[in-house]
Amino acid sequence: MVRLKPRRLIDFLKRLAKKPPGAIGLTILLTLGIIAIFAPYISPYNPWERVGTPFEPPNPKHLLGTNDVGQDILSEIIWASRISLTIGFLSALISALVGTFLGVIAGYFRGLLDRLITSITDIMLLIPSLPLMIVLAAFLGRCIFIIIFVIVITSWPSVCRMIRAQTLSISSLQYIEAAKAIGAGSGRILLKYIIPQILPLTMAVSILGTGEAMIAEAALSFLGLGDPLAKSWGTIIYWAFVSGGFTYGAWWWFVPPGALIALSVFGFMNLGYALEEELNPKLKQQQ
Amino acid sequence: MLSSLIYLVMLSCVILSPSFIISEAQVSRDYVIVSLRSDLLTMNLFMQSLIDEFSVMELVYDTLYRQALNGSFIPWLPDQVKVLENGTLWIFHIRKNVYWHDGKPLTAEDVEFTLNYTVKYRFPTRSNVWEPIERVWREGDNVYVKLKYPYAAFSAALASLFIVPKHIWENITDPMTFSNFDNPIGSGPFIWESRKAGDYVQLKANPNYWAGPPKIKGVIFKIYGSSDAAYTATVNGEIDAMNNLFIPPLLLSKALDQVKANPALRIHFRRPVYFQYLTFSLKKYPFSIKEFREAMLYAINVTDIVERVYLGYADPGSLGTLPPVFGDMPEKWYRPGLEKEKIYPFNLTKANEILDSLGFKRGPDGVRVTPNGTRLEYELLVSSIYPDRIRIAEMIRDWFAQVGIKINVATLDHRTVVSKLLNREFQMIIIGIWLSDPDDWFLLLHSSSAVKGGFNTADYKNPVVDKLLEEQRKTVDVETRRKILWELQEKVAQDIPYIPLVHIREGYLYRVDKVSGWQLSELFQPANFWSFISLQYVTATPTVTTTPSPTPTTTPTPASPTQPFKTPASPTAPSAQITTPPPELEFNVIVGTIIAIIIIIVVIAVIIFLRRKRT
Amino acid sequence: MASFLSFVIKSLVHKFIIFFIVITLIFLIPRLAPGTPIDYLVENPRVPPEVRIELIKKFGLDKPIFPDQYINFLYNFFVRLDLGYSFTYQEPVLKVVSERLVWTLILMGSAIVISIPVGILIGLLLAWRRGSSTGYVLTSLILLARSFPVFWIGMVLLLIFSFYLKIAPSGGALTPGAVYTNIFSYLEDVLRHLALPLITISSVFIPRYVILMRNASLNVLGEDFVWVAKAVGLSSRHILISYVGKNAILPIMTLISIDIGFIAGGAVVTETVFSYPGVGRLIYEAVLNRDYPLILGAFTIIVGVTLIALTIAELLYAIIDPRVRRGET
Repeated sequence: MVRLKPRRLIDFLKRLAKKPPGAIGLTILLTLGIIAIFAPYISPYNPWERVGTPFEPPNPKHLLGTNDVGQDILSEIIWASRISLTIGFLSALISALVGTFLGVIAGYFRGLLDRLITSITDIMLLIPSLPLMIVLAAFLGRCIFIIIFVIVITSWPSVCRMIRAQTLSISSLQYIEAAKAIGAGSGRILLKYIIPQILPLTMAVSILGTGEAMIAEAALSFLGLGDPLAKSWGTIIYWAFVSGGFTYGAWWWFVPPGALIALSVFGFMNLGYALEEELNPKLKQQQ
Repeated sequence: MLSSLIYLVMLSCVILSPSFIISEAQVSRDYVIVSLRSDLLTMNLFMQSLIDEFSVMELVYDTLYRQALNGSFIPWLPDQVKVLENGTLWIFHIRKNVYWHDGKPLTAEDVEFTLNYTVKYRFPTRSNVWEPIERVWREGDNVYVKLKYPYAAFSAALASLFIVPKHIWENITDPMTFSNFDNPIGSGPFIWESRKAGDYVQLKANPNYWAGPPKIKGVIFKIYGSSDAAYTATVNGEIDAMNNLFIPPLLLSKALDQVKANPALRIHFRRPVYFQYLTFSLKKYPFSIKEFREAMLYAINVTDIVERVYLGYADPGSLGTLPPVFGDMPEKWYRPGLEKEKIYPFNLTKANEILDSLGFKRGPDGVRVTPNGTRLEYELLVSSIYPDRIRIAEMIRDWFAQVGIKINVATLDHRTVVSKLLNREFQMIIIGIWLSDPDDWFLLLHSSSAVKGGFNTADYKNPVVDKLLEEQRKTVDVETRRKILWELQEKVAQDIPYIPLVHIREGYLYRVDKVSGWQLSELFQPANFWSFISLQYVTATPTVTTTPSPTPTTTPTPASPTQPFKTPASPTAPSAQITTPPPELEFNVIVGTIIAIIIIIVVIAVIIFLRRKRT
Repeated sequence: MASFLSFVIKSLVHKFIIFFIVITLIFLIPRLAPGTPIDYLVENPRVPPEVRIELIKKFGLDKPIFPDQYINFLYNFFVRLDLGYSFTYQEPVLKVVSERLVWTLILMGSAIVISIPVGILIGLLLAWRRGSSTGYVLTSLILLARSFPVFWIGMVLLLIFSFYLKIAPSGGALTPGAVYTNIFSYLEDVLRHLALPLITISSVFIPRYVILMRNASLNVLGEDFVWVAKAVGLSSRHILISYVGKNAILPIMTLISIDIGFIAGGAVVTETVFSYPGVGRLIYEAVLNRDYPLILGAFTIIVGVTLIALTIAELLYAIIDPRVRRGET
């Protein structure tokens, strides 16, 4: 069980970093995080400024060439890490929180509330997610918050289902039954016993979900349903695609953002699995 | 043991999978194949709205007029046309020896029926045909059409009205919901053969076409999801021409290189009659102030848009709003000298000066505020399916920011943008529309369409312009009509109701190694009606050699009305199969591979099963 | 037996309610969005505004969404079993969708057939080899494959195999105008067009099942009985297959039945990249065209198929495992 205290957190991270998946995940994400934070200092140009002629191949002035209107692709990619990571992380976090909240309520209180929430998750899980995203994104408009919203709408139910199952098994444990028996209030049990056990799981889920969300964002952008004006890795690929960059073989334009999406998803997944293993007591025993 | 087996399976899958791909296509390559942008939604001639539908329909059906390569409209089904009574009575003498694909003759009765049918059902996309018509009747082979008013663009309107067989359509009582995908019978040079929804449409040549049978075996329209895919397919020789999908700007330089290296490839540029502009409501302050509009004009660098977004393959628009391509047509409707850059060259200082003189002062954040307190901050809508427009919008945003006008670019789904445009729920929009005849500018400029749902999205009202528009509509004489149109353009250029942007030059890639005789014109794509009826195979096939009919390589205008050059039916020349029978070996390899994989899997399963039993 | 029957009825009623709510949602969402299906006509400036109003009436769109349009839809759907007419195609929705569904089923079906066994085998292996370096490298590779966006993989494959090597078609499901001499040449043509999209989709599916199977197996590996089996001295392979595999495959089966919806509708991106005429692209186009009946019809079919698959899976469970009947889900 992990409590979110600084000392313990550092210990925990240290433990994570000891195993290869954790180490790889942390390294990748820290690097990307640093790039995103220091984007203004790292990037050679302002990515919105048309600094070169359109479609320059890589050259000493523009290491990854320029895009269809002459913006520096390297700078674009560096800045795009901000929006890509933000969309990915925010939507995963929100859906994990929403899912956890509803899942805990459903799993703890049972009864009518549980049935209601379970039915809603069933319904949401049943509608194929990408087509639903297309419907929502097409009708709601183009802006990163709407993209986050759309991703959250389609991804919270699976979190909810998982957390509910977990809550069910925790609340049937003996010490919780005992706490109930001595008359501890629901709020107290939830806050003191259940939520602390669930939260690490939520963390793992949201980290795993970040990768999924980044892929979803890229897919939406590719279909032209993203915000083509916001610079994310997905929209850079979209612009490469609509301007014929793929057929041109302009690898410097679409390979780096694609690879960065893959790299960060890979990083999140590694970290997520490392966390899961760390938190799954059954697996730990075996080692 | 187990793991090594699994590795083996994976390895064999990886190694064997390319054999699915490598073997060459064993298909008939004698049809001419061109691309299509999207699936046909209907083959109902009266409900046609997509350019893709038109591409197919104009080959299967005939019209009273067709647009020739030089842009003018020439009579097609009638061999004689008389326009009497000051342009209100049109008499069409319908050609003899025209047959429907089911063998029945096409007569004046069918034409009369089609016109009356259109008037009766008031098909929405054919309003330019039924609106002016007062009455249609027939005498012998002559069809008489009486118009309510003289209508100069009537021939252009008729060029989009496909003539349908009465014996089939008279039974259709609800034509608005009739798809006509089931074996449509027309009279055009090609006969409907088949359609795979979402994939392709196949047409075969009509051996009895009255203007001479096509020399190719047939045409296939194949749907491609993107212009990239169509481009690749043309370069690879999978299709013969890009149609309705043009080369994206980045690929142009590459395509030009490719054309130099590969003698089978050619590029053709066309300048469509397509108007792309920035619109806002003249009713709203401060757009209602002419000086403000002038300031915006000074702040837009059209040359930069042409160079950056279109790599030079575009023409700057004219303030008269008619596209420059009209200047290359014989009628010369275009009034030169009204180009925006000539009158209002890009000059940010000047734009700032004008805005200063209007008393629009910059606020602390650099955004100007009008004397009555309106902040110059606007939302500019663009539809997300046009990446070039998004780029233009971004550039405009940056320039306007320098003169103190804040633009927030919003990209929306295309339908939403159109709906907002027509319901006047916008501040600024970049939009483009397809037009054909100058008369279509009636919809953009006349005060009668300055209503919700109308296309005068600027809500522009000028009685002089209204009058000129009405006059040109009634003037059948080309010289006089040109004079009116020129005056109209000058007037509009003074008022600046719209900010014209650029007219794209679309580049189309096509191949000359299989067929030759593409009919090229600035107005058309290489894959146009005239091409399809003139194309012939480069390598001689029996089909071509057995019918040595002299065929004009230029536009086959129906020459002498008395002698429609219907070739003596050359019955069943056994069309040569260019197809070589599929080499046996190739698909044996495929089948073998599949069997091998299945065997491997079965063997592994058996081994696993046996091992499990033993333990 | 009575308990089984009541379980079946309860399950069916539950499914029906869900189905009803889903189609109601799909009925409402597009209609609440801006734009109307006849906008494609309006884009043509020659259509006068009054004609537009006439058309709206014709499609019944002038009536209030609720209750008129909704009741009309329910009546047509449940009483006349009619999915309606597509506004854009002017054809029955069922016909439009079924023409496309064939290709989606070919594509996704073959992807599933390849991915599930391969995924399960690799997943099992990875779970067993957890901790070893081969296991670790393989896991990483699988995870990496899972990390690339589908459309990106598709575009790169297309670029390599179609544009540079010229050994694959640039799109579509069949070569247009092909003359097939026999069934094999037809099959070969289908396979040639199927290869790249299939590889693309499998590159998502295989890692998906590998990861699922690995996790499920890991859970089972933590169970006591595996320890007991090891202690008793059973061979690794025996434990792997008869205990771990068997127990881990159950959760996978449930996920597969859920995946069927994903299968029918999830290939939008791949279909777009390869110009493949499947249902995913149809939905995408229907959304852009505001073709309400088509959107609704396509979703109804997908959701219906998924629900049927789920119900069958649940009933099979109930037959195999009596605990389920008692509601211990």
